[in-house]
Amino acid sequence: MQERAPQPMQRTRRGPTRRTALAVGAAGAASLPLVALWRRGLRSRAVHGEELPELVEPARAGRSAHLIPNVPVIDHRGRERLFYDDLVRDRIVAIHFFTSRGETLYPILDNLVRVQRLLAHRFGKSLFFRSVTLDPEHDTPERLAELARDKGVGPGWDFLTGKRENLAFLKGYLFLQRPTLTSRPSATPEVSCCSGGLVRYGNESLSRWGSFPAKVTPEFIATRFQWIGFREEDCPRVG
Amino acid sequence: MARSESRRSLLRGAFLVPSALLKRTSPPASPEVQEEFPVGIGQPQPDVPARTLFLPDGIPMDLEIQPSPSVTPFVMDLPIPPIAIPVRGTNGSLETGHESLTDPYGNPAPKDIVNPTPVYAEGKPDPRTHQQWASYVPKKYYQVNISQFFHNYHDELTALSPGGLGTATWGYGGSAPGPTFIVFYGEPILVRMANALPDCSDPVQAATLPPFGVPSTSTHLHNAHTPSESDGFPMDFIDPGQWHDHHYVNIPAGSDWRERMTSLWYHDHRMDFTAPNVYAGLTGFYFYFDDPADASIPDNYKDTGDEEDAGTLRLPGKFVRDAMGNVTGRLWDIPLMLHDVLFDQEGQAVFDVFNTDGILGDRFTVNRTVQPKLTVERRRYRLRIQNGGPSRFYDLHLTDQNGVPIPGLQFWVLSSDGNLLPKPLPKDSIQLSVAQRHDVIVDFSLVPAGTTEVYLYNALEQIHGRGPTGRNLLEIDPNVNRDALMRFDLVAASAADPSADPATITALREMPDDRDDLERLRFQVTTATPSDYTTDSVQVPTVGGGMKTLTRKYLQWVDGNGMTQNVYVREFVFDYDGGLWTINGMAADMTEIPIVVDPGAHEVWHIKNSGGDWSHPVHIHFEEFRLIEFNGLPISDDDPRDGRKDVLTIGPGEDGIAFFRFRDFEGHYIIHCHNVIHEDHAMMLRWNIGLNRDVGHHSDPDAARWCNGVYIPQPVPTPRED
Repeated sequence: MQERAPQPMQRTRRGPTRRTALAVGAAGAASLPLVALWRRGLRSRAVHGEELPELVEPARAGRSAHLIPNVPVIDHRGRERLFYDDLVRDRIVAIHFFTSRGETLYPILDNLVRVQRLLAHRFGKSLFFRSVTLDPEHDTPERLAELARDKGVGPGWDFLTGKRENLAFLKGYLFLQRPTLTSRPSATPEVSCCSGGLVRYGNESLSRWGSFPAKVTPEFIATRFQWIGFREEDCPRVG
Repeated sequence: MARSESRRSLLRGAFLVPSALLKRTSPPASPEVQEEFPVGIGQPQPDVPARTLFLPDGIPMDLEIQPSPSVTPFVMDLPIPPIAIPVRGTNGSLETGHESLTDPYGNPAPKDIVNPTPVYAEGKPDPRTHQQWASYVPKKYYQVNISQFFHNYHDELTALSPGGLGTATWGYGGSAPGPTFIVFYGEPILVRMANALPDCSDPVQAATLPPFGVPSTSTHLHNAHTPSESDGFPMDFIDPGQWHDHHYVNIPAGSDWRERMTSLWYHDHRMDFTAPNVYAGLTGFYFYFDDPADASIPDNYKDTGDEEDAGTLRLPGKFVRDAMGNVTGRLWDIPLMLHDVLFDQEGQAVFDVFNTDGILGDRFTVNRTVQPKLTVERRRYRLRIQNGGPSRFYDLHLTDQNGVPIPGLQFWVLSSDGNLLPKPLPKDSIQLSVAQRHDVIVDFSLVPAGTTEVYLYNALEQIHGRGPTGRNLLEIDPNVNRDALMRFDLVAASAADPSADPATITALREMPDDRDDLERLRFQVTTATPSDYTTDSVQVPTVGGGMKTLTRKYLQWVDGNGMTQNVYVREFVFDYDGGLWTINGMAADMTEIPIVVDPGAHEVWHIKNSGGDWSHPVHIHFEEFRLIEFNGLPISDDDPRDGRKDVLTIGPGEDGIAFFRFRDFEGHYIIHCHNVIHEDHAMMLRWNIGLNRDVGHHSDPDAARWCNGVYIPQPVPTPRED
């Protein structure tokens, strides 16, 4: 069905060598991922001493591999997952960022749960939601598991946490929004997420990506997964 | 094919990046060094971080990190889009053309990558699905296939492309821009748009798609007075293999000749995907003319399209016709569609699907050709300049080869958006936000004999997609000519110029309302206290079968005819919230009807930008407006906005007050930001004229959309327990 990209650096799927921890100046083996970092401006941050994300070579690069960073995250069941390899590739997904504390100020999960109810028959089979926290110190896997239970989140929907730099890198990649001259730092940065109203959705294997507002009518959201799914067979793999 | 596969592998392999880019990972130049390099758009310096393209926090632009390949400017000829040719019936008649709408005659053969045969859209149009069909029976029929093909943006870019084929592009009728419609007031037409784009359910076809957009379209005729079912509502989309009939009635609003328009364009308006689909190539022109025999408009206000028609406006231009009488071209009348595009190292268009601010390209294209040249005679030309987006604003100047304005050479502005202005306005520069148009007359006979080149240059700096900075690049760009949008090469005139001198045109178009009457309305609206308003309410359906109540307010205004009118007053605040671009705090939801306008109503819409760092070109479908106030001041009569408009551009903190009449048709329409990235990220509201038509449309689980001439039930999911 699709040609597969050559895999220049085969790595063991599991184990300590699978990660390419990046550092400025490691322009040799890690040079290509560095370009990807450069693309989103991480270069300047690295210069200023911030930590770099643990970007991992995808085991197999699908059509959206250049769009979705493959960084380690931890789901609300406590499992370590690679964001692109394990959670996005070959799937139809919706991805958004949130914080459980921010939910009280800017609630969006309840509306997405309504969408899940409408599409329950596809969840976990041909449709997946990825909710990524930006408050990992507070939103531990245990807290996220509790939240998932409270909200009635079912199979195919992962709440994700992990290292702050990995999550921040993911968000920087998926939500290219620059600070404005008039934007002010939030009084409570740990619970703010300026992209909270927006959800990215896409079909990885076809590389079709769009966005929808998290708060609009659930039925209006639910129709979208047909727009990019084209047919059920387009996303047959089960995660 | 081998090269094509390698390209696709490159796209998929996140970490296979051309080695030429690796050196860009070297440590950044110090800020002091960066300060020395202002840059225009034409050809970014390959290895120097450009100061003006960097943002305060150091995040570089895509176009700076991976600039388009360098190409030689002004070597490509400006292509003129083909003229759309109507379908003829079996007896050769245009009026019976719908008999043979299965025949793609009239379309250039689609250069489709996948489907060598175009879509044959079966079936005659169904009059029952169109408002007032009997009043406006189409006199001409067109069929346009929307397909994917390889396009030549520039020979040097095409040479870089896999197989030397060009850039994967979507277009109407096999070309980008699509075919230009030449239409006359009083002559309704029907245009069947058929989607022949690659079908994603076929893996082979899906693999050919450019890496952005969805092959699903809804074609909007921008600024036209169109019944709702033909307007190109974002949810009236068609998928590959489907078609949609657009009934363009071609009447001026209210059948008032003063509301006649000139230059329109059509483009894709697909929900969520307008920006990438338009970027992929889905734009085209639609020009109105007046029939010399039409008695419903005074002769001296007619734009017949022929500069030799005595007693009419005699704007530059003349039709070229074939043996059958079909218009096949225009002389002295040049459409210019502006898009800025970013290309990858293989000459393919690059689009950032995760950018919410706006997309900027680093190559100017005119009629989808990078920095073209056009040979012009030393005479008057009519240029129809259209900013096709997606996000760039322009401030256009005419300069000589030294980057110096040419004395006496001006833009004589004829129109602002679709309408002719009261009189031509001489301007040294013209400003175009996204989707705006200006028809201008440029008199190349005024260029001194020693000057043989005239450049069209954009002086407006824009470093991010949210809007321009306002800085003038003409003074700091050392490469004005190289960075120009296009070049005009002057040759001697072949004949005398029979067109009217714009300086002598004192009456181009009458206005439907006197300035005094509008000034009175402005005063009333801006000084009204709550007790001056009367309120009423209307019940609208909601998803799930419920109803909600909308309250409205109006005041009374005595119009120029002495009639007392109820004028509804509304406010639209364009803002930003939680990653979304919003209007009145709301994000685009086509199942919601937050605004109901009564058929025939008079309304005043106060449109505000509450942001401090972004600009929004606000577009309202269906009816044009008169701008009666901008930033607290009335509009002066030498302002190009002192006409009828469909786009109101509001910069940071700005606001404008627009006056409308909603006439002739009913149904669903929208107001949105025409920075199409903002539009796709929810800066759009639905509004309805009346509640008699299209009300259940997308607003309940049985919602339908117009497709193949009928409502197609939308398979909206219903809860199901596994």
